[in-house]
Amino acid sequence: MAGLGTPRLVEHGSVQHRVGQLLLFGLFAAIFLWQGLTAERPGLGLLTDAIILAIAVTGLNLITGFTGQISIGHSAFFGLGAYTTAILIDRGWTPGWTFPVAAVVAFVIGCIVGLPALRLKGIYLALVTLGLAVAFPAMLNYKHLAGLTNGALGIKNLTYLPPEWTPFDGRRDLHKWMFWLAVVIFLIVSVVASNLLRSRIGRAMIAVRDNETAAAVMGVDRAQVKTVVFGLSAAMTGVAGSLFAVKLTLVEPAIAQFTLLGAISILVAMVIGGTAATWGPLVGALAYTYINDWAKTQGEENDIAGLGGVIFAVVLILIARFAPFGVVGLLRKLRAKFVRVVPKLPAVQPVEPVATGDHT
Amino acid sequence: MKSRKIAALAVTAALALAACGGDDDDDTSSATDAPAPTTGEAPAATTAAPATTDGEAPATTDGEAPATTDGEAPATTAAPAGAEFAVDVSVCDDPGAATAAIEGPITIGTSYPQSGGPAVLFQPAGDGFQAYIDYYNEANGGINGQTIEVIAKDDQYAADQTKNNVDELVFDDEVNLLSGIIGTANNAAVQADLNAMCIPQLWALTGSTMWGAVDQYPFTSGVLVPYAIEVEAFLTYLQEQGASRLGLIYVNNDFGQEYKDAVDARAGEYGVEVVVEETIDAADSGAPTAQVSNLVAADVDAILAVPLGAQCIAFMSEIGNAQAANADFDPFIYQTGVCASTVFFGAVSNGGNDGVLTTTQFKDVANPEVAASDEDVITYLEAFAASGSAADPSGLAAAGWVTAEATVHVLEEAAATGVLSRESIANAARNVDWKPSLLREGLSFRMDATDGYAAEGAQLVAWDVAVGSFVDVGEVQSFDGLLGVFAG
Repeated sequence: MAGLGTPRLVEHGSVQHRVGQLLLFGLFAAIFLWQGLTAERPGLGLLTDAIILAIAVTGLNLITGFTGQISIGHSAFFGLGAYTTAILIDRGWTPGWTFPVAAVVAFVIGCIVGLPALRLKGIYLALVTLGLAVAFPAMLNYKHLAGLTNGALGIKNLTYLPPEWTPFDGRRDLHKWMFWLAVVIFLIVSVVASNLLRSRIGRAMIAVRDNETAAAVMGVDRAQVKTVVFGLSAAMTGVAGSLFAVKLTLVEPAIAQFTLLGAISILVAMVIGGTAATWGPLVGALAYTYINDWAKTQGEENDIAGLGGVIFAVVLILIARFAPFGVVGLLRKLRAKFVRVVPKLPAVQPVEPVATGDHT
Repeated sequence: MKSRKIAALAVTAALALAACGGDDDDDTSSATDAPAPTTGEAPAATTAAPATTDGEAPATTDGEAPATTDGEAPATTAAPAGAEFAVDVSVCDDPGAATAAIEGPITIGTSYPQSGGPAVLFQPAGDGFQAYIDYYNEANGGINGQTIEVIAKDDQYAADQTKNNVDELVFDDEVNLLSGIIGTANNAAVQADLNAMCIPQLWALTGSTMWGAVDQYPFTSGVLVPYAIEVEAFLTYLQEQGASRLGLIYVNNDFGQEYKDAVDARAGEYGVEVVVEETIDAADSGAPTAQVSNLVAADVDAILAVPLGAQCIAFMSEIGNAQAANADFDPFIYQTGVCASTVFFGAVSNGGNDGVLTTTQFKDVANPEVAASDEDVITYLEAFAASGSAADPSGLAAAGWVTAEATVHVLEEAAATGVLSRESIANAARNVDWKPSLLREGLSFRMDATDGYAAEGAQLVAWDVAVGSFVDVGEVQSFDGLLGVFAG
């Protein structure tokens, strides 16, 4: 019997566990619904930015958190998605239809980029992806691609007006339309990621992350896993880029989210939330976005140039020191003092006595 | 353990992020704290010294007296006026809103950097804008009794924040029009939506040629000399000087790209050939040593430089180093009007700034003689001092003043039609034919159905190290009507 101070054990998959998960999901859903219906324009815009970042982090989390392949080049996939959407809208496409195309394009490029992952590991793979992050903005400015990207001038007029079947009133409610569009896409991406992790590929991803050699011995096709997951990861981040493009209504090479700094932002948000944590991308993106915004406000209110950046860096250092497994990891640790989720034990089958022969 | 490694990597990267973030005017649109490159707007307003009274010749090879402020004709004749322009409000989201009479206070919305690094350069423009509005309200009680109010929001030079601000200004604050937004990307981010809603986006404080799209975006106009006109003025000068081998060095963003496109399109007309091109990364504030070395090696006799922010100083310093190392290296050098400020030019200590050319369209309010004799300048300086702003009135503050003056002029013209509405404001702007008080003599703002650019003239000036300020080079040049309209 559990005594005082002993955490309550809850079996994974049990009714209690599922109720707990539903309550947590319900809490987030309630917050988003409340914000979506009542938030003012600036507040809703900031929350939308956080959700877009959460989508990008979900993608990165798949390849880095669950497959162990460090990537600091996901800004390139983000930008690829954004520019795919921009180029197609510029050519008359309905914005909504550009999103799946952007996902496919990013998937293909992601698979190609994943090829070095077959032979490189750790910091060396990180360097390759770093090269991608650095090269991408330069490619946007490349004169032979200017026919597509419009070079340094970028592509503008990317407004995605709410369709008539929605309850939104044109440009006046554009901020609400963007918010709910981001929420729906985030849900879709999260469901896809969750299902993937529960599948055979998901188990293979974790096996590769934990011990690649053992995974190979166990029959995991590492090349297939790494390549496909790189592609899926890129696709998700690319869709985030598409959303970003229609929210900003323009793309140009100078946008920070398409540069190495954007890649670092996605990585940092992932770490803040918690690597390989299901709720990590959302929690991390929210924390990153609001801490960053708060830090900037402190700098403005105190009229000290750079103060916002310093505050933000200090907060990150504190998180790394006291919550190395991210906010979700820290919350799990706190939860474990009261409730601990344990794996479901296989049912014990009664053993029939084996008939013994005459030993005489 | 892997989580800890990733955490350490992320923190290290984040420290780099914090170190890079919040840079000064190397920033543009960004929802994160990542620094974004500037698109380089709104040059210092009055940077050139006017004609001196002691007959000292400016830095021209023919000894010609500098331009005076006595209403002397410009160097070129103005193009004949085109047809009057009229907006078509039937395509607006809400035509009724576009034609509805504006009653009560006239509210002008604007968005520009008021905090962060770029604010140091651009905040004075906002101060100058507000100073003029306050001066006008006090002197005239508004327009036909309707006072003018300004609602200014801070965008930290980030285009996405500009968009957020404009959304708030339009839907929450319900302003009647926008004016004086700073930044090419910032204005571009809101141009399509504002035109779809038929809300005037007057006097974008950038020299981009995009604001001349009379047919596609009639509600948007620009107030600064288009970058293409700067190029035209320099190429004209090079032709006069017999220079033909041009080296181009420019920042690799939309701002730099516009200069390059203009050079590529027009250099041949003046017998000038681009023999070498170098780019500077928008986020790089270091000295462009390699780029300048290549310019020296290419044996150019002219350089057109489009650096950004602190790069303006770094470039000129590097030129000084190159000239010290190469006695024969003495090309005609032009630097973008965005760098045309005493702050930038005066910061160079090795002589690399001596004789460097740039352009201005404004009177030199920093010149004591002008400040003492020109009534319009006196009015400006007094009103600006009364505003309480601590900014240098000779910098972008004067550009802000002119922008506000142009806005009020348009409002007056619109009100004179009998109905002050968004439609009449847009028509008044697109058909402007008027001279701002701080504009050089011989220049004016003029637009019509075939001319999408108000300010198509400038005065070439050169920095004189001995004097410690700019001096006029040649006469005011007007290219009125040259650019026509922006075709997209």
